[in-house]
Amino acid sequence: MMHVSFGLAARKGAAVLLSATLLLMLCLVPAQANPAADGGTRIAAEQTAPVQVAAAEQATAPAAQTATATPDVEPVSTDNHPWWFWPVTLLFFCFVLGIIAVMAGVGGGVLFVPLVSGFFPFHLDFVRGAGLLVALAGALAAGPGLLRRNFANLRLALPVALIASACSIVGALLGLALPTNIVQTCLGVTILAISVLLLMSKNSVRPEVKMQDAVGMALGMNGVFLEPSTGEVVDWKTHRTLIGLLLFIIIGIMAGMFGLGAGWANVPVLNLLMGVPLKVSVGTSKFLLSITDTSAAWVYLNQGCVIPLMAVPSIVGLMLGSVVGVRLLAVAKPKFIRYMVICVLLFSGGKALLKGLGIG
Amino acid sequence: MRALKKDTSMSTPTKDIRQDIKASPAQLRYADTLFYGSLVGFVALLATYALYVTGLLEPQIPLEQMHTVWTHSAAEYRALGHIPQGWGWLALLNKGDICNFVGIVILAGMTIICFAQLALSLARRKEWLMFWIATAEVVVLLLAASGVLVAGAH
Repeated sequence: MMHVSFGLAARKGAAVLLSATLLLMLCLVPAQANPAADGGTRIAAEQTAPVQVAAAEQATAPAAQTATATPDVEPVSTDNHPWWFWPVTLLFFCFVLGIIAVMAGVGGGVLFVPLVSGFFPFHLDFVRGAGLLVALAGALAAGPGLLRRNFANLRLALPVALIASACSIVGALLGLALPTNIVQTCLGVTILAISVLLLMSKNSVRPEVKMQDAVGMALGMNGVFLEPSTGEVVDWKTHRTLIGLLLFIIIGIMAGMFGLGAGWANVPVLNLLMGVPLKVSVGTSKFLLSITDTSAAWVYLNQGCVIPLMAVPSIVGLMLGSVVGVRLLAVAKPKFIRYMVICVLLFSGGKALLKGLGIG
Repeated sequence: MRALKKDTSMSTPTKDIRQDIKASPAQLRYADTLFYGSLVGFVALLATYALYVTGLLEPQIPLEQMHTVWTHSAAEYRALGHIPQGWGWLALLNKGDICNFVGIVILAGMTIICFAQLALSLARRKEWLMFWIATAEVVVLLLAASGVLVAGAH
């Protein structure tokens, strides 16, 4: 009886959370669509920007000179919100996002980038920078525990991380060099593809690997872990290792280009393709984000794509939300949340696509 | 019962199952360094953010004007706010917004420190293939952190 009422309460809580998120998104839509919040600001600022940019670019050449330079920012905007409005809204938005992400079994980054770029007035460059930091912070918080319990395997992670992190730098450079509308369009397509992937993929708890391949054997990609729920000791090894490693090239590029994190792709490749047990795949994937996202995050940080005023509330909100989400997870049935998240991803992916194409 | 054998690798199965299910010493060291480093990074991030939003440290770009710059691309933002590229921000550490990068850099730098520590541990154990992979990872991360890699502005 107690269990039933807990489950009911959790479902009610989840429904309230989702309603709150949708309400928040609906409240933010007019702000985004309203020229006062976005277009007006952009147009007004762009009219003044060229002269300032040209002047400032000369000034930014030697870093030492900029240390004493006064910013050329002019308050040309019709956004009448006080300065704290967007950071505080972002904090609450990310708190709810963190709860939903944990319950749906997805990383924060994959929800953060399409939703925040779709419904908040920040440029995509800053959203991607913050998205990487959000994913990085989550991975750093979870990484030590996963490593101690042997759910994240260093031997499995090392070669994969090297490929993914090198390629995420390429992705980050590519994403920052391409025009925003192209990146936004590609982001929309990617998010739509991820939602289909989440809908279709059925992870295997313990994939059957009859024989380890030569690459996996040479890299020592095998191990043993204790399944705490049954007390069983599980031996595992990889197959199709080379194809898996090659796929991490694409995963790395996409992670760096869109600032999404890459848990959505890491887990299916490790689990379904390479035959790593689900728990080790999830644990190693989360740990991998601390490496893959670090290299891309450095590129974004060095290019000035991190605005602390928006990045810090995003990190804090998502981490606090994740803590609450983990507690709710014990009593909730996350299947409904998962389908809701897929719907939200389809919606935000569609919005990003239309925005990129100049329709939305 | 299987004979006890000292675990000499990161997690390669040995003859002793009790050793195998435990994380290796190298993995535990990595976890500890990551945990304490990240903790320091998070505390630094929150402390500097508090200094920033409470106005105790004057920011490079005034808080009231942030909404006029964050709608622009990163290249325009740097130019409008005189935010330097790469490690140039170190010269502006007394600014409220810029000092937040200290915490971010600690968080982003932890993986480099952990991998350098891991590479040394692997070298001591003469696990040369893994040593070279870990060393290559350190090089990749240092390259990303150096600020040498710059994308063309769009």
